[in-house]
Amino acid sequence: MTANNIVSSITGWPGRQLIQSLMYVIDLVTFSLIAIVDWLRNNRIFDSRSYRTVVQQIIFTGIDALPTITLLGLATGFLFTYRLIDVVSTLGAVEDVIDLLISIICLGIGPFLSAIILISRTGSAIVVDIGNMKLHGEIEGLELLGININDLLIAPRILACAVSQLAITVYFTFIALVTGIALSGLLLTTSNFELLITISSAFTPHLLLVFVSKNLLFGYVIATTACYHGLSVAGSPTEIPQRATRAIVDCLIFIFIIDGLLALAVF
Amino acid sequence: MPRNDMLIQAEQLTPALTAFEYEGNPLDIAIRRGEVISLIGPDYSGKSDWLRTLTGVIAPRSGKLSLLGKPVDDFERADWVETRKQLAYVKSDNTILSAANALQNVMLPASYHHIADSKTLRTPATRLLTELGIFDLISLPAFLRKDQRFRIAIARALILQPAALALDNPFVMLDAIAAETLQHYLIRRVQEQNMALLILTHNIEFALKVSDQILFITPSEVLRFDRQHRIQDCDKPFVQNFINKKTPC
Repeated sequence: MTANNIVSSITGWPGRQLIQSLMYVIDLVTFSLIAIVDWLRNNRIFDSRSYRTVVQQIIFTGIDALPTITLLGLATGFLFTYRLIDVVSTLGAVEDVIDLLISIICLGIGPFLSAIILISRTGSAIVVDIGNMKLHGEIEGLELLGININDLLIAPRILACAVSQLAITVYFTFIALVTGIALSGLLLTTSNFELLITISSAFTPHLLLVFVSKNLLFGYVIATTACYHGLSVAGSPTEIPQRATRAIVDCLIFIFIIDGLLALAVF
Repeated sequence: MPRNDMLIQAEQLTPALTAFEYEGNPLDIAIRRGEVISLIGPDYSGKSDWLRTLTGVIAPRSGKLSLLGKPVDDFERADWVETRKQLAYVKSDNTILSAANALQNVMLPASYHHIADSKTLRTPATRLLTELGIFDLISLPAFLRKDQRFRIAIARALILQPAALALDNPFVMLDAIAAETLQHYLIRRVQEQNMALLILTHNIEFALKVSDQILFITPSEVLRFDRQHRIQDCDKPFVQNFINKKTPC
């Protein structure tokens, strides 16, 4: 191998990686769009089977995760909300405290920690579930009966994860804010209780839209990546943990990137 | 003959076998409602792939294939859905949903295709399962035997009232009595429902007794016999050797 070849292979590596990553993202987007378009075209939105899958997924993703979310919300309230109020109230005005609480707790930590929980619980479960179904021929069995798995398995999961992500973030943010503000009211000054009313009125429609969009996008990306990797299992049981790991890591990367891009766009 | 009586028509068909390249003669065949077609032959000769090709599950390597009276080359998405409903194909290994019980498994395709609502489907699904010897309707497949899971898969295909049922080696996991019971049941369904039955089997006796057409498949050729006596009159020694073994299941 000549020096020229070595140099070009080294310099070509980032380009190849970039193209591979772009193709992967295009694959994911196409995959999820096909699933949703199939679902809408076949009028499966209010179909009892789809509806049941959506509800089951919401129960698993949202309701079953409530104890973990509550615990994390309480910890965040104590560690972040209370500390933020404590530090910022000595330096700035009430408006600054409100701004910081909204941008850090409601739009930053809340969606992010909820997404981490969604990835670790639901994302991995979806990969294992769909991967096992693929491995054991259950998916082929359905397709052989003319059943489109997009509207039975994929699209309902995507929708349910998006809705669940939004719901658990609302719950998490509520717990984190109330805990932190209540603690600051009890331990610092009772006037801090007023923050509860001030913060609810400070939520403008614009911020609300950002909050909702961000969470729906997080849930959509997590479910899409998990379903994609579950269906990528080809023929060996060893692929399932490999695919689950890959899905978790990719979801985390996507969440970081989306979070960063949205932060740039909004603030 | 009404057009919809012709279910499968193949001209100069060769399959794309998974294990090896098929270099033998192409197949011409027409399969109508009410017929029983058996696929027999030595092991590892590509019988499953032939069955999958004939039912449109995998694309042929060459030749023309028409399903339900329409060439597959002209198929659109909706045609494939209809074909899969009408030409039910059940694999020999377990393919039912592990997260659903027997009843839910059987009701799923019919409710998905809006044939009836769940309440209405409960009765025919229960009847099908009972006829096939499945009385435990609520246990998950993990707690059932392999042959029970296979029978649930057959019931799941039959709930759609298909025009043809293709079974890949259905008797292999059954004991002699259970195999015979299933054979009688399938023949009764063919007669009552005017359904075609395509069956890949090692049970030569069954194939010789009930088949309207027999496909004798080897890795290098496929021979089609119209009636039972024709295969027995065949002068090829490997065919005679094979059918005279008459494996029970």
